[in-house]
Amino acid sequence: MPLFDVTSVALERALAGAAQRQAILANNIANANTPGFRRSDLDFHTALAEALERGASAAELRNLPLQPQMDESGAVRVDGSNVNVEREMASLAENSLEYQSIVAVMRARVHMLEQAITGRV
Amino acid sequence: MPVGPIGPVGLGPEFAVPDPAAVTSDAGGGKAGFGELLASSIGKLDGILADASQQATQLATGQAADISSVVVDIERANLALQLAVQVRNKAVEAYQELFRMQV
Amino acid sequence: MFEALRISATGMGAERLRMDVIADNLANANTTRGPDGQPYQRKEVVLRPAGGFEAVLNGVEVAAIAPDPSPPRRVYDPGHPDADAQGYVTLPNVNPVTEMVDLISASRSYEADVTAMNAAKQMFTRTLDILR
Repeated sequence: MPLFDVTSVALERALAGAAQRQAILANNIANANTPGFRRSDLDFHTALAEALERGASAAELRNLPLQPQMDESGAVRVDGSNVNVEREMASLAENSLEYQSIVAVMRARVHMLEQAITGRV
Repeated sequence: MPVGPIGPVGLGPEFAVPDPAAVTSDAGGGKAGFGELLASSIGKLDGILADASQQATQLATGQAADISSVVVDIERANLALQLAVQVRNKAVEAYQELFRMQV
Repeated sequence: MFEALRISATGMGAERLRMDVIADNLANANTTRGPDGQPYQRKEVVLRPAGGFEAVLNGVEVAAIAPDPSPPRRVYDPGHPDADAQGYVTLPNVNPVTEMVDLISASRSYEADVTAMNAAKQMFTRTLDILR
């Protein structure tokens, strides 16, 4: 497990993506009753997966752009909004748990590196 | 009732003290055996660490099957690394102890 | 990884729609004249597993919001502006007691979905505690 390999950068970018997605989903929920509102989402998973598949280096990954997309799918209600509050809440919970899991994995990796470097278990 | 002579006293065949001559001639083979053992253990550790990195990458790209397999793999890697570090520390200690010996 | 959360969300959405329809029925319990000139007809929500009955682990979806075909109530009230020639008024087939029972059922189902979602979240965080 090298010090700063592609996996570490991928985890960092996923963390940034999850943090950004949290804000976007919260915005969706806040605008649940805004007439004519269309929900947005950020699919950082696909962006990261594609980058890793084409063999991106750590430096490329670090500058990977994460763009939120407007989501036109889903039923549009009478007031013109396509926000399904329950679905947004579930996605928010999902995203929050994902963030926690990435943090836990990063912490475990750092801990392992510390053990190997200092020799103190 | 005839009583036989008293034979040599020992703890039994399992605790027999090895013959010094046999040990010195076998030392070369014994050292190579331990070295091979270490090398294969480090290879296995490398595999376990690579597994954990793979799981972490899958978590980042959202392709992880479920969180329990990710967590179990990473914890296994952590424990394997701890064992390896402890073995290394003990080996270094033993080496230093050897060098401290007054001959 | 998060199927349980999505499935609970579909359940919550379906129950919330049921509550909306029940509220509509209760509000229109005495509407004798609708946009088509007919008295209000009670609506019911029909649920089914999402993706059809063969699909597994997709949650629930609303198949239809169907009108209740049971006959409307006829009440003798000759002074009512919508009374017919015999003095009978046709009132909607909404029984407030039935609606209240449905409302309690929908509310409890919603709470059960929320509990299921919280349980799934807790399982996840407990698993992460292994790495702590």
